Amino acid sequence: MSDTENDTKADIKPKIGGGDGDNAAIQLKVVSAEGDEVTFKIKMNTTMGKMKKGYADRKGITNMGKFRFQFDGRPVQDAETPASLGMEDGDTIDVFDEQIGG
Amino acid sequence: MSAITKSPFYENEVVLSFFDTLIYGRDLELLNGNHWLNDQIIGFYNEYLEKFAYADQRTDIALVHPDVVFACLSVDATSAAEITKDLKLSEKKYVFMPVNNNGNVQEAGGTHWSLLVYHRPENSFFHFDSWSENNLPNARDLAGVMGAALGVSDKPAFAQRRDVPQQHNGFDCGMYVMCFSELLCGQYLEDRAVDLSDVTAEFVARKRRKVYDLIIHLREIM
Repeated sequence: MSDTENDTKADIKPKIGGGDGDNAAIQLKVVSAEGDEVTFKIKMNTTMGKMKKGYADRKGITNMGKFRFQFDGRPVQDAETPASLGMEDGDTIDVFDEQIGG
Repeated sequence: MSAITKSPFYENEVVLSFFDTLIYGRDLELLNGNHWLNDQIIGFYNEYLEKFAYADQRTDIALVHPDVVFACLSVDATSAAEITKDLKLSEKKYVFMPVNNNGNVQEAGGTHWSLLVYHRPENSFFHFDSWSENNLPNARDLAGVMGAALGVSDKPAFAQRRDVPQQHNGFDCGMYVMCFSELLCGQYLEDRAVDLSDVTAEFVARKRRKVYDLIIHLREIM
């Protein structure tokens, strides 16, 4: 991933957006299987990859390969955005651990 | 299979974007040597079989992504139907669901993969497990929650298949799931006589290398 730490911080702001036209901020909840909730305020064109990094920062997760985002029963890709996924204010993203087995 | 050489990709580099699956360097590396497989690799192969190899018979089959299977296992039957509604599982003759024992074990992320198939012509679930009955409780839970999603009217039968080749190592269960899915697609969709006992340790080791090469090939042509 070529995103830098600065990009991440610049795009994910915990403040209330003022509704800047087509790119207004929406609030999304990330909910784990254990029921933990983390709330994000992000722009409609912010990539899910950046939001995943923000989530990892807040949860202290160092390995990005260890968790997955899901929206409406579909795996969420890093390049997707709230706009491309048709997300609305208040929507929930489910987060799951990587599954492994041998 | 021993690793031939380290993959020429960074851990966090996207190697392949394939429908709903993104394969990173660290995912691909799991195929390079005797490593446990994760949901991304199995999800990739499911998508490959459904949307590529058997694309012309997509109306008959669904190979559900392991992440979606896991999501269904964590909710009730009504929510599982809601989660999978876009997959139109109630219209499919054969539905393949990789089962992980994540949840029944202390270790986060699970330790074992098996395969649950819903066979609509026989209104039956068949469970294929390369490690005895290790995932039977998880497979039963899954069968119990998928009824509404699959649109069944009568309660389906459930059978633990006894003719399943067994792994002789502690790392190939995910490969067995992928091999079973591929052979069973051939049997169900092409009326091919399939003998699951073809899935030997050597067959599985060759398939591991083939799937690795397939990902590299798709990266080059897509």
